Amino acid sequence: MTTARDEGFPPDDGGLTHAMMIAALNEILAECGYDPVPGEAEPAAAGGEVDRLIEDARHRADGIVAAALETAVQYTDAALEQAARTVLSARHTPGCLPAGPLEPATLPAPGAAGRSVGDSWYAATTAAGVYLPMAGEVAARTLGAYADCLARAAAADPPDLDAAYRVGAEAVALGISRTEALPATMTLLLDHLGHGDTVSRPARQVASAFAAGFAAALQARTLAQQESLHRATQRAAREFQSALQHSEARYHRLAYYDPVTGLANKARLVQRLRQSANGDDPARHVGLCLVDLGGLAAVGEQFGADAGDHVLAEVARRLQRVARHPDYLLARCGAHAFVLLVQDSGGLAHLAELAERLTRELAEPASLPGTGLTAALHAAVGVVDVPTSGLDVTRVLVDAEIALRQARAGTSGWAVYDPRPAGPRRAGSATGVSGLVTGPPSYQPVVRLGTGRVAGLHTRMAWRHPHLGVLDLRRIGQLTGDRDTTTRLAGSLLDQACRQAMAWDGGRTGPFVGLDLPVHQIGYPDVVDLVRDALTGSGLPPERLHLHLSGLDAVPAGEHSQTVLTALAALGVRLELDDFGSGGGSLAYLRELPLHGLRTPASRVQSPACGVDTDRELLAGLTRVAHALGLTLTVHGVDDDDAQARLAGTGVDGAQGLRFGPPGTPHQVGALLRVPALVALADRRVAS
Amino acid sequence: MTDHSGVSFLGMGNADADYSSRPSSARIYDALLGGSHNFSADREAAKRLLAMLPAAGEMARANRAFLHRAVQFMLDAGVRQFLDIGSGIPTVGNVHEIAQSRVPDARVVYVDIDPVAVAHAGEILRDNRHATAVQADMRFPEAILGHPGVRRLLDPDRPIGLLLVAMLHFVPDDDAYPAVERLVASLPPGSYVAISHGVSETAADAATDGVADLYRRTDVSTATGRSRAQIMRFFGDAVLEPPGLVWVHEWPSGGDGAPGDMAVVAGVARKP
Repeated sequence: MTTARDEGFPPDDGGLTHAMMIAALNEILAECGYDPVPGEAEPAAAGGEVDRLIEDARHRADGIVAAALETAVQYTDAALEQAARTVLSARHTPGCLPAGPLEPATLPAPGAAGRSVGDSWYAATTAAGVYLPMAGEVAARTLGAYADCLARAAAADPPDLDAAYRVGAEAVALGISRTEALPATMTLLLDHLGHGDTVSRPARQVASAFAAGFAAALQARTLAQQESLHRATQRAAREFQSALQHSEARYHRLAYYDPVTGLANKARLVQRLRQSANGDDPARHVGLCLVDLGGLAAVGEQFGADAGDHVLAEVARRLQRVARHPDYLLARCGAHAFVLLVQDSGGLAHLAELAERLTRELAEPASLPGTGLTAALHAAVGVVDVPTSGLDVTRVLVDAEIALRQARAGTSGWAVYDPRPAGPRRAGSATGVSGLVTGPPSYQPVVRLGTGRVAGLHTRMAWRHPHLGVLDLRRIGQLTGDRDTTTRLAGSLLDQACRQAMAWDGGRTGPFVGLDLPVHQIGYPDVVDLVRDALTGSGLPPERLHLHLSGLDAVPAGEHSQTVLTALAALGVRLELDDFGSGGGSLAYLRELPLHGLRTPASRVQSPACGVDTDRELLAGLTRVAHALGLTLTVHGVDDDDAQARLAGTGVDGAQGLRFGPPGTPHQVGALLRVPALVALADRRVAS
Repeated sequence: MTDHSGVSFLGMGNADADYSSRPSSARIYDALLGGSHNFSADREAAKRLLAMLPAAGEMARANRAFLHRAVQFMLDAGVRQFLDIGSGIPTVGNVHEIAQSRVPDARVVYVDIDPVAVAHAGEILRDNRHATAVQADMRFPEAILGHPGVRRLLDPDRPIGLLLVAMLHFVPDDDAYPAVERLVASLPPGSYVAISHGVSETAADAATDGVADLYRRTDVSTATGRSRAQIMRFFGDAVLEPPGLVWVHEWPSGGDGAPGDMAVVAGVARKP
């Protein structure tokens, strides 16, 4: 049509003309009772006018087509419905058998006064404990129709046993599915089919056929239901397994890789170190360069976490330039620390050369996006070279840290760990415990998300070391290797925490107190004695003491961990696995340990690249797994709104972090416990 | 999480469990209704329940019939979406059959904690675009409300029929009240809440200890009756439809107010 307008109207050459189209259109419009469009009169009308006419006609045509479609659909629906009804009624060949329950409207009211056979039958089935999923009246009418159908089958010559059999089956399909209903049903039907005390032979045959149909259908139904139940059971088990594997796979990805830099994380590093330790070549050495960025904390503080992440990614790229070798593993193993693991070290000279190159790569400051500014990285590198035989993973990492401290003290930017017995420089400092100053314990609320109440308090105590800075119990054990000191300090922390918990609430239902206990460093059976003494001394109900296992304690070490943890659990205290998902083997081992709960840091279940929804899904999956294993899941380090938002709707049981209250003094916590509403308020924000 | 009954409440400690060896409340209920979706452990539990509480079968049927009437009532009121929590085995007279026989595109989401019941429902509903079953624990309403299945089917701007039939008495106060409050709060105006609940203060109370003990061995917590006043609290701001909270077999009409052997009350409320 547009062509016609653009080029004017071609001469009548027997083709389609504008006039013909208008005429045809008007014919259709007239048939449908619409006004005709103006005709041929204005061929020379302005282009705009023609446009308008055509547009107008098009509108009307659209309307007509839409109306026609609607009508067609209506007719089709009605036809389909009719067809479905026909098919349904055709399926029930006995003409008298209703196709499903009978609504009152579809049947004439019962003619006979008093109780019909349908009513009696319905009453009998109900008395036998049958539940029919329909209104009583509908059920009674349907059963009445069945009874009539049977009467007709008995009256036929020969008796229509096939129909009677089918009625029996229909009765089961309707819902009369208990054998208890059969005696009353048979009595009632024989009364209905017989005349007084005599029941004719055809009536007996019909009744028998009904019973056979009933029994066959009941058996078929039972078998079908059992089969579908078994299928469902298998499916549930399969789904559980695959959910377990799925979350395990996703969790491992998060567990072994750092989302910011894409590098391996500390768990992966430890895993590789362990593998090296199991190597069979005693002459082989591994080397380790611990790279620490002193400047990064300031970047984070001044320019925000995103800028910090940007710098980390930049550093990772530079390190990868040095570390491009299949024998090397580059890992991020701390907020601002990286490790380059050399799995087949060529000795100190080799490592020193690497450390030089790393230092050079990081000498240039990193640019800060969007600011035009750069930030100095202040990198330092600590180097360790150890034989793989008898390699102690924890020890190697601590040695690297000591070397790093030396590097910071020096000028070259890197230093090698010196394994020789300490000279005066190191005696009593790096490895000694003299001069430890005990800080006051702090208590941070752990909130139960379901209720918003403070469920318990996580206790931490810190010691200040003259050279190593602030240390927790585990670090003291690692750095000093002094078991007696660790045990003594752990004992005092346990005592203090238990007594404090009793001071808040002496009952069984008071808040729990949770603390991190380096079980392996203290050793068995001392650790069990320590916990028992603390419980006895304070009188704290054991279930109110939660022991958090992390690091080495969280890695199953076969029978030994089983023995230690079982002995601890036998005291009645609750064991919770912390840092859930960092390294470790299969989730399956969780089933074998006497655990009560899992804890995981918020950062581990958070990946900036994927977004809140994905994180939330992961967390919900983890929670389901934890719950399926009969364990609770607590997320700690929930410090900001973002982390809190990720908990919503996941089913996570408990949360701890600045968002739910900072670590406080015993006095502050006491006040908090008296005002549960404050925390409940915080929780409501989770929900919203 | 420090509610120390928490873990035992979940009771699914045996993860790769042989589901058939441990009775489940959903399958006990099915056995009481005369279904065959149950294992011998469930039938054994049902038998013991009946020995202690002879009216248990009658109560199960009365609950089921109440569910039927409540759904019909909500359909009459224009509700086209249903959230059935604690749906159990979708046996005879389930919500989607009732609703979709009247409104073919009525939406139904079944929620149950029992993975077998949910897998089962999933099988039944495989070809039903308007109904689904999700596994969730009602103690964590956010997990229910945020579930993809729920989000896909239920339009949060149109009235929803929330069905809590014969299930709240399995949930302890600490969990039940906040969870129901959150669920009801999530419903748009014009939604309905149907609750049937075991009531204390009845003749059946005498058997309570035994029953509680029995359910303790199933996959769920103990069944505990509540007083009428406590049950009323579940409705929150929603306004009870006549005749209010009555014996389950007498809702919405009929009966003479005599409990008979019934120890269950029921009511339907409309959220203004």
